[in-house]
This record gives sequence, structure tokens and C-alpha cells, in this order.
Amino acid sequence: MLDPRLAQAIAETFQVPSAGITEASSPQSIPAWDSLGHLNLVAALEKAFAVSLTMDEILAMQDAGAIARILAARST
Amino acid sequence: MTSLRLLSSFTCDLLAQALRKGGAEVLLAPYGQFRQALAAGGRDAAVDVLLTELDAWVPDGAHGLMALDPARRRALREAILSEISAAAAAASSRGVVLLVASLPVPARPLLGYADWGMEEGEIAWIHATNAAIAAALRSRPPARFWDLGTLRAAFGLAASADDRLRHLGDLRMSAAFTATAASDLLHLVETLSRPSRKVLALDLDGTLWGGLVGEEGMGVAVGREDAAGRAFLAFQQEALSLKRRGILLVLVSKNDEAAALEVLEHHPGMLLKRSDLAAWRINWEDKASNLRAIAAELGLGLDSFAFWDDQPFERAWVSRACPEVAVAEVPADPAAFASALRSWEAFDALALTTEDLARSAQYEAAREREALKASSGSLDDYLSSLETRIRIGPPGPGDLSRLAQLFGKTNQFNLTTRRLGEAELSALMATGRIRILRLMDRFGDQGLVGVAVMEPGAGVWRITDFLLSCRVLGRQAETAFLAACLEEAWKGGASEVRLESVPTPKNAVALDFHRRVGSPIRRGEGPGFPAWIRRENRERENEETAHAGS
Repeated sequence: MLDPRLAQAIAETFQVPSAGITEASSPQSIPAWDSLGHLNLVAALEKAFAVSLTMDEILAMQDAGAIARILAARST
Repeated sequence: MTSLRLLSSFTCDLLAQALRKGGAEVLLAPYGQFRQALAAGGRDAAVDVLLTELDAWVPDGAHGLMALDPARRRALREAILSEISAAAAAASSRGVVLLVASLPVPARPLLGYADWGMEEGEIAWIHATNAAIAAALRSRPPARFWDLGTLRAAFGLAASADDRLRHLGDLRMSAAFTATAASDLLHLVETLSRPSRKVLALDLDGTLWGGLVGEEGMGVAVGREDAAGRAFLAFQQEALSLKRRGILLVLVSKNDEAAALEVLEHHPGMLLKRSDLAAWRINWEDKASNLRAIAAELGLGLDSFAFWDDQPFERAWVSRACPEVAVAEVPADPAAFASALRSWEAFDALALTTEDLARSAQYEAAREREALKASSGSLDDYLSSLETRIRIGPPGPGDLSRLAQLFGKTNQFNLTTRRLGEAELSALMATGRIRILRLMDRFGDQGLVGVAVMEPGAGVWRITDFLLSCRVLGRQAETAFLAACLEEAWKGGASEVRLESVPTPKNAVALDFHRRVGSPIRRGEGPGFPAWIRRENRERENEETAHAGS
């Protein structure tokens, strides 16, 4: 189960229904998730989770599952 | 709707996105191609916005600047000025408003404390250059300077940039500052076409002084004696400076007229006097009706009015009843009144009026053809001035990761968008069918910027992959690269070359190129080698494939 804040950030950034967002959601499954969209998502996540992501983390965020793991590692 | 074109030496996609969100129609010149876009002429948008940083003018930005001696730093400023002046003159002849953003000042100069001890030190050089650009633009209306630097400073220099975004995609503004810059730019552009408000309508109690004149009479707070009085005094000072600029001051207040005028005329702390006022309505009527009455008296439309009242319900009422009136967002704390009035956009004005804009639009049609004719020459001039040199040949083992990166990331100029990984590329490299393009120009070595995969056959050769980094688009490097590949195919015995293409949502630029050159290409046909690109020695001496020169 994805963190609802994460699902919401993805849904709002890419204008897709949050119900369909799973760990597998990625640029392949969401057309609006291009490189520019990725940066918008980073800004949305940094706001929602009050974190500042490193460049490596931004590059490693290849799907929703990876993002969840990165954010979880930050909050421990 | 405002139409804008962004011309920049760095990525402005996030800025464009924020501007579109703000209602503007935005065109984005291709990445890094601000010079080509300026030289190409035409009138794609009403306003061209030129955003550059130091590295657009000198290789390696501040590092390159400070590697020059002071005389050459001055010479660089002159070179920048002449380029920007020419662009401004060309823009105005096309009826386009050119806005030139200031060069950013760094949060810390390279030389630290020593910087101001230097002649033409980094910070001093940037300030002097910005001032010179602004002065040059002043004499070439309607071109204007956009003081992005002051906006950055007010926002916080460090927070206005984001190192991660810079490395990830060559974005030079942080996400938060992007929004600030976009709204400032939209406002500036709006100001270009809309005259300033002509009348400032002010309330009395809580606006020009603290307290209620109905209760305290001459005891209301204004003047130098105490903090509250000084805050209201500062506000009056700002209002008077608007009056000196030609803005009419009027009063709309729910009060007893005689008591209020008594304070206006005789309170020792008051700066603003009855004689400063063009009109007033001090009564118990609603303020919308009073504003209409004053408008009638002054012979002005309500759209000339700006209204300032500390009471939220009065502001809401006027907003609703007179939507043409600009209603201030008044801070809760009177200490902030003066600054808020100064930054209120209602009175922003440029030397430029709507008449100026209309006039330049009239000349536009007549001049456009001339400008286009003249500028096609200047684009060629520009391209030759780049001193572009290319090297084409097979890749070496050290190129593998860059190749994989290009195959993985290139969207725009990618004919077939095959996402080949390192393993596949490594196998392909062993067959000797990959050709790479390296490009150098007067700004330095741009590195490995293009890849082609050729598949020789009996008579018919195929080019299965052809991609270029968007960094080098707009200078016909793709034409040179293709010409070199074709030359190799003809030498290898090909009679025909098929250039393959697969449309994707993002590769319109590549498809357009494909359409222009056509496919298949028969022996002896195909594009020639562009005159302003010099081909250097083959990539590797021990290869016999690539032939030097053309």
C-alpha cells in the first residue's frame, strides 16, 4: 500500500486519478511523467514530505515503489 | 492573452510552465539557441525575453571571466553590449518588445573577500555590465531591462538557484524562485500594454492615521513621536511621492467631514494636506457610490482608480461593486503599509505607453520583410562566427557510458528512439557500425553529441539510429553528420541509403529533418556539408573509414 501522500503527489503532478497509482507506476505507465514532470514531482514531494532530496535520490526515483523506499529511508 | 518567447542559454522549461499557468502563451526557443532565435527574425510572439548567465558569454562563466585580465574583461562587456544592442534594434524593427534579464550576481564571488579589491572584479563587473545593458536598452525602446537580479536578491540569492536542478537539466532557478520570476515577468509584460492607474483613493481611519477621528479627534496617531505615528507617516510619504508622479490622491471615508478635515489641515504630524487632494467624499454613503461620484467629478473612468482601505469588508465591497477598480491587498500591520504601497503594481508604469506599442505595430508589416531578408544573412554570419569544428568516426571504449546515456535520454532529435543499453552498444561497437560526432566551437569542446548506427548491405545501406544531443541543434551539425555518414556509405559501395525513422510524441524535430533530407537517398544525392562547419581529422588515426575534409 503506497503512502497516500505519495499517491496524491503523483496524481496531482501528472493529473491522473490517484486510485490507479501503484508501486509499479512509472514514466512508462504515466505519459505526463517525462523529465520535466519528474522535476515537478520532486518539488511536490519535497513540499509534502518536508525533505530535500539529493541528486542521486532524484535519479533513482524510477517508479512509485522506488520513491516510497527512498522516502521511507529518509523518515527513519 | 500575452504571447511570450523565451530565449535562453539554459533550460527554461519550468519557467515556461509557470508562465503558462499564469495565463501566458509561451514559446520556448530551442535549448541554448538564443542567438539563432534572435538572428532568425520574424515575429513569433509580441515579447521576446532574453535570459542569459555569464556562461552564455564566456566559456565556463565566472571561472572564464576571472581568467581574463581586466582589459579583456572590459572588452567582453563591450562585446556583450554590442550583441544585445543589435538584438534590441532588430527586435524593435520587427515590432517585438525585447526584455533582457540581468546577469545574476553570485551568492559568493570566486575570489571571496578579495573580489572587491580587484579592478573589474567579478561582482563589480557584473553590476557594471548590467548597468551598461540597461543603459543600452534605454536608448532602444521598446526594448527593456528586466531586473531579475534584484528579484533574486529579494528572494534570497542562495535559495533562488538549485544546484541539483542545474546538474540534472541545466535549470538555473529553483522551483520556488521560478514561480516568483514567472509572476514578476507576467506583471512586467502586462505593464507594457496597460497604463498605470491614475487615481489613488484612500481611507482615513486606520489608513492615513491610527485610531478613529470620531473618537480621538486630534489625538489620532500620525507623526514622528511614536512608532505607530511613524508608520502612518511613512505611508503618507509614499502616497505623496505617487502624487509627484502625477497620480491623483482622493479620499473616501466614513466619517464626519468637518472633524476629518480638521485633522487634515491642522494635525501637526500630518504630512498629507488638504491641498494635496484632488477630491474627497467623507460621508456615510457606501464607498462604491462615493468612488463613482469622484470618478464623475474628475471625468475619469473607474478603471483609472486604485483603492486602499485597511478594512477588509470595505475592500471586498468595492471589489464586488466596482470590479474595474484595483483594490489593494493591505497588510494587517501598518508598519508594512509603506512598502506594500511602493510595491503595489497598480502604479507600475514604464516609459512605454500603449500608443508607442501601437505605433511600432504599424511599422511592423512594412518592415518585417526587410528584416527577414536582412536577418537571413545575419544567421549565416552567426553560424560562421561560432567556428564550429566536428570530428566523426567510430567510438572508443571510453565512450560507452556516454553513448548509453545518449541512447537512453535523447528524445527530441532521435530518429528511431531505440533505447540501446551498454551491453547492446558494446556488441554493436565490436561490429564497427557506430559513428560518433564530436563538436567543438569557440566556446569550447561540446564533447560527444551525436551517434549514428549504419548497417551496410548489398547496394542498400541503412542508418538505423541517428541522434543528436539537443545542446547542438540549430547549427546544422546534423546535416554535417549525415553528409559524412553518406560519404562513407558511397565510398563503401552503397548505391542507396535508407534513413530510418519512427515517430514518437517527442521527436518532431528529428522527423522534420528526416522530411527535409528525404529517404531513401540515392548515390550522389543528399545534403551537402554546411560551409560554416569545418571537419577535423578523423576520430582515430588507425581507422580508415572516416575521410578528412569534404
